[in-house]
This record gives sequence, structure tokens and C-alpha cells, in this order.
Amino acid sequence: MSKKRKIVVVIAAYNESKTITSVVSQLINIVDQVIVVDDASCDKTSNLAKKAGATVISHSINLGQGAALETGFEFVRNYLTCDVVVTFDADNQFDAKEMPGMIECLFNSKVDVVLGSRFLGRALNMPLLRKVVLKIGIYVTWFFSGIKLTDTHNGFRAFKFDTLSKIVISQNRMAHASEIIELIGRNKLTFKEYPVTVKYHNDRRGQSNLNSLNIIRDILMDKFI
Amino acid sequence: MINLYHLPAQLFMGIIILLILYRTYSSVKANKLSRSFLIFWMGFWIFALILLFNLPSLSKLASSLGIGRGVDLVIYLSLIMIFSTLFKLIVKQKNQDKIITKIIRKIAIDETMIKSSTKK
Repeated sequence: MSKKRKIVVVIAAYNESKTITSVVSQLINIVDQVIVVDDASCDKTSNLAKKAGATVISHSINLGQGAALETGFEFVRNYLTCDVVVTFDADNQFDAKEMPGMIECLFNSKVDVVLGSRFLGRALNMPLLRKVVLKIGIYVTWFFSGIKLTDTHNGFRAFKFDTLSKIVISQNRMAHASEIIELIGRNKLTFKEYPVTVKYHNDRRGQSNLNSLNIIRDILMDKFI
Repeated sequence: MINLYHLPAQLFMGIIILLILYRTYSSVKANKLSRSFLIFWMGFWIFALILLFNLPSLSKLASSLGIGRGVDLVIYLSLIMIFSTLFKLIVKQKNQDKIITKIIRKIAIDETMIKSSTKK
């Protein structure tokens, strides 16, 4: 799929022992390296990811998803060379089979970044309230970054390695998703959205809807303080 | 100058201010405060103590600033103090969060590198 392109996947994980083995196992056969940043999980996430073949970086205290992703990025920037860096979620909501298409899109479209979109693709079993919250998130991010996307809080993204030096995440928690869009705009990186599938599992619905208020608070605090 | 109607409240507030001054003095002895903050903090509370037992001058000061009552001036000043302190605390906490994140990140990456070099 990749014409010998070297692909590294970065996954931020916190208490994902139920899904991490399956996620890493799906990825390990189609990419060159899977990096799991364990954000001080209380369960066996770290050991399971290691057993499944991932390189595990462990935070000693919980910092948040944004901080975990940036740790993965810093590791890639300083110690690895590759062609593409992909971010992927640890909760088994994404389909690894869609990654080759996303990477092809990155090179065929000659853009710096490809951003996954569940609203261009499919969102299976998505709760209505989540849909509303995500739609509001689109407008909030548009307001602050000037970039209007169809899905701003989607963790499935592909970056060309060279662009990673311009994507330095400072938001430790969930507001990093909006910050990435802002950094894309500020650094004038070219991007394209790519349709992806997001499966919502009944027992695991990702972050809470109330957390979206914290995201807006973090964005505002970052702007004004 | 002493009004018996106000005296209980003045004594109560006066004791609180003296306690604050005592706590400040103890912190200075324990080297917990900077000199500039000490001067500001002690000055503020000594000024408050003087005004507390000289209410007419508080009212005069308030009216010279275009504020109707002395108590309103105290409330406005308190609000400014609270918000500025809160702002300073948030900035400080944010900086500390950044430092902690850097340290945790460095330790995490270094440990991974050490483990991978040991494996080889």
C-alpha cells in the first residue's frame, strides 16, 4: 500500500486494557511501528500493548490525551525517521483497514496532513447528543482557527514526517484536537479531509459530553492567559 | 471617632487583620515570602486596619473616588484583589503544569530509550 513508505502510528492510551491488544494487533501488520503512550493507566494497558508488539512509552502521572500524543510526537521527532505519522485512538472505534487509503490520499493529494472525518464517512451507533456536541465543536474550532472542517475532534489523522516539527501540542487534555487544527492554519499547512468509519460501542462511548465544556474552557484559557 | 454601634464589628475585623499580620510575620520568619510581597501585603492590611478604626476617613476616601459608601470601596478593592490573585494563581499553575509535563515526558522517553538499548 505504501510503496515502501515508513509509517509510524502514535496511540495515546489510558486504561484501555479491553481494547489495546486488538488495536495494536490490527495495526502492527500494516505499519512499521506502533507507539503506545500509556498515560499512567491503572490497568494492564502498558503490558498488553508491549505483548502485542508496540513500543510503549509510559507517563508516570496522568497528563491527558494531548500530552500523551505530544510525547509520542517528540519521540518520533527525536529518535525515528519515517515518511508518515498517523494518530489513532486506543478504544477500537476506528478501522485500521482505512489507513492505507488515508495514506494514499496524503501522497496523491500532495497535502501535508490528512484529517479523518466521520461525517464524510460513517458514524455507527453514534448517540444523538454526541453528534450535537461534535457539530458545536466544529463551529468553535472554526471561530478560533478560521478553518471549517466537517469533523474537528477526530483522532484519526496522518501527517507527513516533515510537518511534525510544526505540530507541537501544548494542550495537555482534549483541547489538543482543536489546537492541531489551529497549528495547521497558523503554519499554513495544506490538508484534506478523508472519510473514516467510527464505531461507537455500547459499553464504551469515549469521552463524556460534559467534557466538551472543559475543552472550550481550555481553549479560552489558552487564548487569554 | 469611636462609635459604640460599630465597635463589635470593628473589633472582630481588627482581630482577623491582626491574625493575618501574625501569619504573614510567621511566614517571613520561615522564609516563605518574598520581600516585595511582604511589603505590599503588610502595607495593605495595616492600611485596612487604620481605615477600620477611622470610618469617616474611609467614607471621605470613597466619596473622593466617586464611590458612595466606604463599604462599597472595600468591596470593590476586595474584588480587585481576589481576581488579581486568582489570575496570578492560574498563570502560576499553568506554568507549573508545563514544567511537570516536560519532566514527565523526558523521564518517559528516556526510560523507553534505556529499555530499548538494554534489549539490544
